Amino acid sequence: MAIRGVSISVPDGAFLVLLGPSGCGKTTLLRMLAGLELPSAGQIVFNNKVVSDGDQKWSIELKKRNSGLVFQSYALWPHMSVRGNIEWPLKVAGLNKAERESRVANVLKLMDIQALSERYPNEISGGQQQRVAIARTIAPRPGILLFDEPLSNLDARLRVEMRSELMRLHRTIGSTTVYVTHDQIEAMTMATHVAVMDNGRVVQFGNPDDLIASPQTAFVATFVGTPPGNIVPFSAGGRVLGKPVKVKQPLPEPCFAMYRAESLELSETESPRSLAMEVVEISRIAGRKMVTVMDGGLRLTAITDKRAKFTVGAFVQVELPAIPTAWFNASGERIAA
Amino acid sequence: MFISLIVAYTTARFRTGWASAIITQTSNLPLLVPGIAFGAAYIAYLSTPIGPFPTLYGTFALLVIAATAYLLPFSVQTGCAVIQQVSGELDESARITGAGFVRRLIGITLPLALRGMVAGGLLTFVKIIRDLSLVVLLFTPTMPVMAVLAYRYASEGFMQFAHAITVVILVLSISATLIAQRLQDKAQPWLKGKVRAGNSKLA
Repeated sequence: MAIRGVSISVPDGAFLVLLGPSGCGKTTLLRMLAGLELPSAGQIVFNNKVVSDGDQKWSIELKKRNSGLVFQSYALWPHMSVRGNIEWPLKVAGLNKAERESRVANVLKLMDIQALSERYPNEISGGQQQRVAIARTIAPRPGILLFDEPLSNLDARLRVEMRSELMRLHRTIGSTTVYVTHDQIEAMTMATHVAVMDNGRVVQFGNPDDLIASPQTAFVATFVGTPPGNIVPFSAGGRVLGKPVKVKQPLPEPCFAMYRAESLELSETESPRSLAMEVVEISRIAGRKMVTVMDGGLRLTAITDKRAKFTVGAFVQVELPAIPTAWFNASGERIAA
Repeated sequence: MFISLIVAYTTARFRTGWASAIITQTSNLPLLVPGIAFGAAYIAYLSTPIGPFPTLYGTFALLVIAATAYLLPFSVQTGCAVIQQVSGELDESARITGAGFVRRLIGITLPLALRGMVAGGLLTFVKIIRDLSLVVLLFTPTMPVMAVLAYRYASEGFMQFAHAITVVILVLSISATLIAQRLQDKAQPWLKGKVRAGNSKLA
């Protein structure tokens, strides 16, 4: 089973992001929402109306479901022009010619692709195809808009551009939107609600600020935030990678401590709470330095303002604060402070 | 080709399950039977009237029926390849608009599958036009088939006649291929898009 025990609901007009690593079931969940797949149990309700009922093996006709899906691959019909692509769903919906033309003109303008209307999909760039795919989906005015990793095929600059474009679109048309991505930056910038998924389950559901401020599992802590939180494993007896560290553990058994990147200090001198680790990566972010250090399987990221020179391959002392941001038990669940 | 398109669509869409496995295996059966046995079987089967249908021995209809059955595996295979290319997200994005099966078949699947279908039809045409084993038993003097004619001329020592017919078969096959290609280019303007896209980038 790809999805288990998912129970979330969002208000009308929300922007819900399903966030998780590949293979966590987020696309399957989206396809169930779209009506392309039937859940084996449980219900999907749009607007107080049951649209899929897995217990009764029933799903409302796609025609009456009133949902639109933008595919990762765009899935434009190559034998139709941009106009044809946008118009076909309207023909299926049985709209008359005048209405169709006004809607097509409307979405072409909304997505700023008027100039491309007579071109074929293979004559336009990936970013333009993306715009056409979105135009095609919103033209029938679906009550719920579904996006399946729509930005993952675009280059980095275009992705940032489309991100704000999609948010503008959401503000303009106001449909409830469900957006699937593995990119936590997209989730954090666009969402009103985020459901972090792992292994077919929703591990945490909340708004972006909550996820960063109080991750409920070690997985969420390592998945959200830029850079994401550091998880340090403590063995029984307060050792990290075999070295005793003076940090008070809440449980006698092994557990995980979360430290934010900005709370880790890098220095040359050893202390009772420092770990000697190798510098593997340095990147400059807005005048600060993000230093990634490694020792065995443990990988930590620190952000520092220090002028000190770090060289890749050199060893540095990583000073852990006495009180971590959060503690998680051996199975990754949060321990109440 | 139409039968094979339906078969292919069903098997490509519902890839799992015993029904599609049976259909696929059945469509491959004619591959196992030698052509000559196939011809003999059809003579035995249709040389007596069945119900309202008249005796078909020696008619063109018999040839068509036997050839259709004989070539089914080939057309199903090409059909499968074509449909698998077209189905998937292109079909799903049409499904989600609420379009029914027939609407999608006419609006999306058929136009996209056309090129592959023509190619598949061509393959089977070229195969049957030079086929001897199937038709050698089915042909009659009133309805000579070219491959059989060439064979008879050759066995009777009229080598030049046999060669002439072979050339005719060759010319037919080649021109069929060329004509089909021309038709495809005209019918599918989007395939020429690459060139136009290149031009517009320069402009």
